[in-house]
Amino acid sequence: MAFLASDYTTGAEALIARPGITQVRELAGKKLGLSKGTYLEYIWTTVAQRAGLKAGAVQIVDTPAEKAHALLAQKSVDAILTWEPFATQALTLVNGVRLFDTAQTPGLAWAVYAVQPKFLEQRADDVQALARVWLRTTRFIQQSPEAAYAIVAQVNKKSVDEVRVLTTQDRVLDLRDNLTAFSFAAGLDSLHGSTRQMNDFMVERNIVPTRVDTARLFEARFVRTLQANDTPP
Amino acid sequence: MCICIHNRIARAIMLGLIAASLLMSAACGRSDAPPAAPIRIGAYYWPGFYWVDIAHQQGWFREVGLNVEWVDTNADYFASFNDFYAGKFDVVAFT
Repeated sequence: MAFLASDYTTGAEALIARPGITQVRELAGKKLGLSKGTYLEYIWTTVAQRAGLKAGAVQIVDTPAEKAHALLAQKSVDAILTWEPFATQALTLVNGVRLFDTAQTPGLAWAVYAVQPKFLEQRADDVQALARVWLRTTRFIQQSPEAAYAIVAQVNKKSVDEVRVLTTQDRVLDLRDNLTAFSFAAGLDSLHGSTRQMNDFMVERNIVPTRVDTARLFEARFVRTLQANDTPP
Repeated sequence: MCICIHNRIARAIMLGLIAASLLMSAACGRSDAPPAAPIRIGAYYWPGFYWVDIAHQQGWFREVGLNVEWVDTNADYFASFNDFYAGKFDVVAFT
């Protein structure tokens, strides 16, 4: 059960091919490294369809997103679909070609915080407290980005520049965005709308058998309580 | 002599009381309640998830009485989904 929406990507996932391949449709009969059964496969299906590629025209090689660039460097695959910073690492490693990225499809790839249903039932106050800490920290990042990035850099052993650059391809959501995200709107700025579109797509292509009831996936009361008790600084 | 003994007893009682009160205030300073049940959260290097690293580092979870166990999932993000379904996490970010 999701209780908080954190971000959606605006270019962080990219399709990187080895040199010599210049268009998506040239991948027919070739190997593509991605993590099977994940939203990356959903993105790939969308991209392939736009390029006029039939399902199965490209051989998928299953790989964790964090290791895809190594497969491309070893020439085990002809292209990969992964997220940053691994996409740019791949581009540099093989002097590759960026065929597509999710800047063309904002709202397609959401991230949400999910909690065990039993935990939600037994420890709702703790879930609300987590949401309060999220709000406080999100405002701190907005108000003092450099101080915030310095902490993230230290925790993850990255440079502050790397931490900052990663934020340019991802839209981090605030409380207002969350109220929209948890509304029942039909567009991609609502979790319900975005999930229904993805689900319809998957049902139509027999990737999943049935439509999901999105009301059972998203719990709006925590962000609504944040809003009700909010006294902006 | 008598006064001296009384003084000693009084001083011992006084010291005992001070020590007890110091212990009590130290205990109160630590926490009013027994430690909260842990919450296992998956952490990953990603803009939408930066807040978990920051709040953990700044002690902001502790400030609201949450006992967060920060678990690194950077080796394989999607593996944390399976771990969540297996009940190894209380909270993870799904994409």
